[in-house]
Amino acid sequence: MNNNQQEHKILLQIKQSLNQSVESLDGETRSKLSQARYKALQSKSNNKNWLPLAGTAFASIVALGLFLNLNHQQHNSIDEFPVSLLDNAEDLEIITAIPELEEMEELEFYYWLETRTQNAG
Amino acid sequence: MRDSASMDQFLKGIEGRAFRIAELATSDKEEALELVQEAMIKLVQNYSDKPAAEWAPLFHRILQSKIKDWYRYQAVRNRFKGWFGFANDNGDEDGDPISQYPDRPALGPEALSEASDFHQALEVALKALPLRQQQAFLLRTWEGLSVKQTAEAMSCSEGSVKTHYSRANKTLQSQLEDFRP
Repeated sequence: MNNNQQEHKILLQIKQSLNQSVESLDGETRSKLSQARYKALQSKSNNKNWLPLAGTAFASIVALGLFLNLNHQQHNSIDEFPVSLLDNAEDLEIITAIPELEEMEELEFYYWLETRTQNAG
Repeated sequence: MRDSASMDQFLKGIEGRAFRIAELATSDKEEALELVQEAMIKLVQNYSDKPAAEWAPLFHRILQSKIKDWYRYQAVRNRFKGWFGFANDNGDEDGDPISQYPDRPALGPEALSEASDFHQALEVALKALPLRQQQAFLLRTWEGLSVKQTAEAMSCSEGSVKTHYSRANKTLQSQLEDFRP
């Protein structure tokens, strides 16, 4: 048997021995590994569940902060920066509004219509 | 859910080997279980959407990172112990937590001579290897990762992987030769 064959044989034995060590893991370790796997798989759904809540909370905090900040500026320098509560509300509406896909599609339609009108003219 | 079932199957298939790899790295069963669980959670949370063929290299990359973090934590803990006079500081400050960690069991030829069979001798020989050699050998030989995948998992160059693997293989071949059945 040459060196390469001998080396290959020992490597094979090492793999077999390591595989055997996994097969002979005790029940407690197997159970803990199963629990770890279950916990990992659960973590994805748990992770997803709190994301919308966190997003809403973050958006609310930003909106509140902006509202209070603008209101504060209004009271401090009303002549330099005349912002009414109504303006604040409009700002908030613009900032917090999420463009819908349908609206984006409408924009594309208006762009197409404009191009078409220009070509016809 | 097909994806969830596939991931479950993948983790089921890899968990035992991952545990052994972490156990050989840390020489601590509970720590190894903890590291494997953390690696599983990170894989599921961040990479479930990747193609299944990429899960194994990704999982090992995460596990290796966790093992490195564990060594970093141990190095910091030992440094604190050193400050309070609980342990000796060897003054090795090259920035690598793995090389700074002094608690790796020093297993010499006498430990190997006590092994009664191939399996015991392999355990002793693997634990005595420097960590990077040990992990490169396990990832290449046992997990079947390519040189490139092993390099990515261990955050080192392909040349380093080849060197670590070659040294580990040479050591193991010579130490286990007498234990062949």
